[in-house]
Amino acid sequence: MNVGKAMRLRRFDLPLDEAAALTRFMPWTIAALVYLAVLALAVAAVADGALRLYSLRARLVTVTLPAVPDTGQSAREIAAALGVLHQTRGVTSATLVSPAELEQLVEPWLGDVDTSIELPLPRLIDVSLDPLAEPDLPALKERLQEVVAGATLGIEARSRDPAERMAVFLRAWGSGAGVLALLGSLLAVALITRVSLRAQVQIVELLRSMGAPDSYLARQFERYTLWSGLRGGPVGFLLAVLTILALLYSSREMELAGSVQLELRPLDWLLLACVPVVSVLLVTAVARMTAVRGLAQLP
Amino acid sequence: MLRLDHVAMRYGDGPEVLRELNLALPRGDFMFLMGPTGAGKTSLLRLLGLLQMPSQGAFTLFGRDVSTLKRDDLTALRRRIGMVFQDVRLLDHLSAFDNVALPLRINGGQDDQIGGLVPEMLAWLGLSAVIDAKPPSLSTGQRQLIAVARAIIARPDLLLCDEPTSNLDGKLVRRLMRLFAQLCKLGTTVVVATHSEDLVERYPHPILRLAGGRLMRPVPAPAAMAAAE
Repeated sequence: MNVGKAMRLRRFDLPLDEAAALTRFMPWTIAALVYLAVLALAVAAVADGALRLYSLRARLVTVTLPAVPDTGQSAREIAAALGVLHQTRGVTSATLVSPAELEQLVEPWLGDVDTSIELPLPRLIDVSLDPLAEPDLPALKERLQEVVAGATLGIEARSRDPAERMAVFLRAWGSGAGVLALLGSLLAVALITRVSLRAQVQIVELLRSMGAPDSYLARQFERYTLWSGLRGGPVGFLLAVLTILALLYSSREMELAGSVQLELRPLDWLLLACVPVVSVLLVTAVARMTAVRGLAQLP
Repeated sequence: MLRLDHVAMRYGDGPEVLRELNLALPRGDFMFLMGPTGAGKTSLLRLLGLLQMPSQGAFTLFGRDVSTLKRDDLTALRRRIGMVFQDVRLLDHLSAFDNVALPLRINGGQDDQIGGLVPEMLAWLGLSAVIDAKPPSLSTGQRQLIAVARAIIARPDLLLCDEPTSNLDGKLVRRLMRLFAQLCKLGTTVVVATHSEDLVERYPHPILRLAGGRLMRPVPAPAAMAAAE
């Protein structure tokens, strides 16, 4: 008689992993929801990374000084405006657009004319800003208007291109979907535990008749859910990682992201690896709480 | 050890299925419980097994007033009771060994203790060959014996059996009754519900008769009366 073998046959007192039990779907439910959560949060992380790259791009503004007929006054105003710009924190460069460049700019509208005689043109200064310095553009505009009446500040790079807008949307969608998937896994586990408990009232009564306290019975569900999570969580995570790698590779091949490279930082991978761990811990706690509450309601 | 005074019992808001029960069972006593179908035998066993609470009257078990006990205290008392259900209630996903070991595990028994007691019990009942087998692969009689083994493995102070011999042949019935008698000698109070007139005639134990949820006065078994005469 092999007692060791006999003792090894036992896994759970309640038939939680039997073919007829709803709980046998728990590992796959957890795997599917971890997969969705990791995938959605990865999308959010990639989008966040892309937005970070967008924000790191130098922002350009154009200062426009109104046209004046007096060349001496014009030179003084340009010098004053450049002086203000160079003293402003966050301005990395300020360059006067040359008259030749200006003529090229207006040529499509005005044709080949002698602008110095026939039409006074405004003076333009191209200004590059360091986005990390967060320059105060309204204050800069005010200071420019103090030295040159009628000076304006045109912000060139404020509007987002479609890819950037898409990244904003994907970051919000990915975060929301990831959190929803995690909540979904908690709800699914709570539901499965509750239904399973109701289906096993007779066995619960049998174990109670032997003196099993509710904590013992709840621990059965807790252990089973932990076991399911330890099986389903890594599977879901692994499949999600493979999907993410495939998507990142495809996006590079197709240049979906334009000039911004889509990638996940090591920190992002680390955070994504926490998803199955956190999910397993949460679903285990939820299974125990649901079982304790359900058992208290049984006679 | 067990005392019922004017006890009634009902399921939920339903009618009383047991009423005006008065009974005292001392330690080490053996009683048969008889009555027609629907008389309340199973309900009485459930009441004595603390699976149902009295709706009226006083129920004292092991010196404790059951109606005043908290959930944890009831759990502790249930560990001193062994029950054999009429529908056996073996767990089909567990081996014969694990089914019998359940009460020991619930009581916090150690693996080496369980590994010693359970095979010994199964061997005594002639079930060594099926120690690893799961209930669906066993005969009705074997399942019945495993249910009995499970009920007595933790040496209960009170053993409640609902038709424990209904699927057993004569040899096994005798063996089981001898086992129950030995348990009584060790101090276990045994109550066996049965339909079998043959069984109660053959063993000299008092009989509790239930009819319409009421308990008749305990009477000596015919064999005991004959022996006394």
